[in-house]
Amino acid sequence: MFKREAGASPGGETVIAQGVKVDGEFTSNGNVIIEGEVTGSVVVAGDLHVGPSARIHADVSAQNAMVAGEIGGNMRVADRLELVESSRVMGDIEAQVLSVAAGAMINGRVSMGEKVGGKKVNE
Amino acid sequence: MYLYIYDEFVQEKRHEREVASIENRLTDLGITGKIIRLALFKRADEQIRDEARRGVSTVVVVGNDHTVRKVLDAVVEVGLPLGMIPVGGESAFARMIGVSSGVASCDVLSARVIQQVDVGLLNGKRFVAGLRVLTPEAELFCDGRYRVTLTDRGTMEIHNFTTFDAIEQEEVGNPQDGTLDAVIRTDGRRSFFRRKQSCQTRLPIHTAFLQSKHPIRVLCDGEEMRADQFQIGVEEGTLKVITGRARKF
Repeated sequence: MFKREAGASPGGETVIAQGVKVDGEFTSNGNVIIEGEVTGSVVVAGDLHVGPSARIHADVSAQNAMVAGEIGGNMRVADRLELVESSRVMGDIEAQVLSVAAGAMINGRVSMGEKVGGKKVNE
Repeated sequence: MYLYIYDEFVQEKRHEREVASIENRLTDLGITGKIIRLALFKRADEQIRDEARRGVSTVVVVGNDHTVRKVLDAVVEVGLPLGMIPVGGESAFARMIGVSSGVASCDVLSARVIQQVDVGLLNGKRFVAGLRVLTPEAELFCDGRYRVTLTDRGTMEIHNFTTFDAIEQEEVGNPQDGTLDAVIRTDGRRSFFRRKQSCQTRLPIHTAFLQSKHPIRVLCDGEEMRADQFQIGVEEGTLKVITGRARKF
C-alpha cells in the first residue's frame, strides 16, 4: 500500500515533495504522499504517506495513513494508522487499527475502536 | 469542408517542395479545402469565425506550435475539430497528438479520429500544453484553499499535457481529466551518504492564482508573458483534436 521509491512521483498520486510548503486547507480525493511542509489542515479521502522529511503542523484525516515524519496536530484515521520508528506525533490520535514501531513517539491521547469518534473520516 | 491555415513562414521558398507534396497527398485523399495564408497584419481569428459561419467542418493548422497558439482561441470558440500538418521542423503539439511531420500527417487527418481535450486558461488566454513560471519567488494559490511556496531552489510549472520543451523527457499529464497539474521540481536536501536528489511535487488543480511582489514572467506554450498576477483555470474538454495512433495521452 505505501511502498514507493523516494523522489519518484507516480502518475495519479498527489505529491508534496521536499522543498515545498503548503499552507491552508489541503484536501484530496485520492492518495497523497507528503515529504515537504504543510500547515493548516489535511483531509485525504484515500491513503496518506507521510515521509521521514515531512513536517506537518495541521490536523490530519485520512482513510489509511503511514507516518515516518513529524505531525503536530490531531490525527483521525478511519481505518489503519501505521507509525514507523522515525515518526513523531504531537497530538491526539484516533484510528480503528494502530501499529506503532519501537522508537515512534506519541504525545497525545490515543483512541481506537470500531467507530472512531462516533463517525467516519470525511463525513 | 476543411479550412487550412498556412502560417507565414510556410509560404517561404524553402518549404515549397514539402508543401506541394502535402497538397498532392491531400488531393489524393479527397480532403482538400479552403486555404488561408497568414501574413503580418492578417489574423487568423476573424477568418476562422467567418469560415465557421459558412459551414467549414474542420480547421487544419499548417505550421508549428506558434501557429497552433495563433488559432487556439478561435478554434475553441467555434467548436470545430483542430488538425495539424507540421511543417518546418519539430512540433511538440504534433508529437502530443500523435501526428508525424510531412505527408504522413495527411493520413492522420483523413482517418479523422477525434479526441476532446481540456484547455488551460492564463489570464483569459487559452493554452494547450502548459506553462513554466520564470519568476522563482512567485506564490501559487490553488483552488482558493491553500498556498504553495518553494522553500528550496526549484522550478514551478502548470501542465495540461506538459511544457512543449519537455514532451520527450517525462510522462505527460492527462488532458482529459478536467484538471491541470502543478508540477514543482526542487533540489531536495543532501545527506552525508547520499547525493542531492531531485524531488517532484504534483498537485491537481482546477483554478489557481500566481502572485508575487515583483512582475511575474511565464513561458506559456512557448510564448513569454509578463503580468503582475496570473489567473489560471481549465476548460474541460473544449478542444477537439484530430489524433494519430502515437498520441501521448
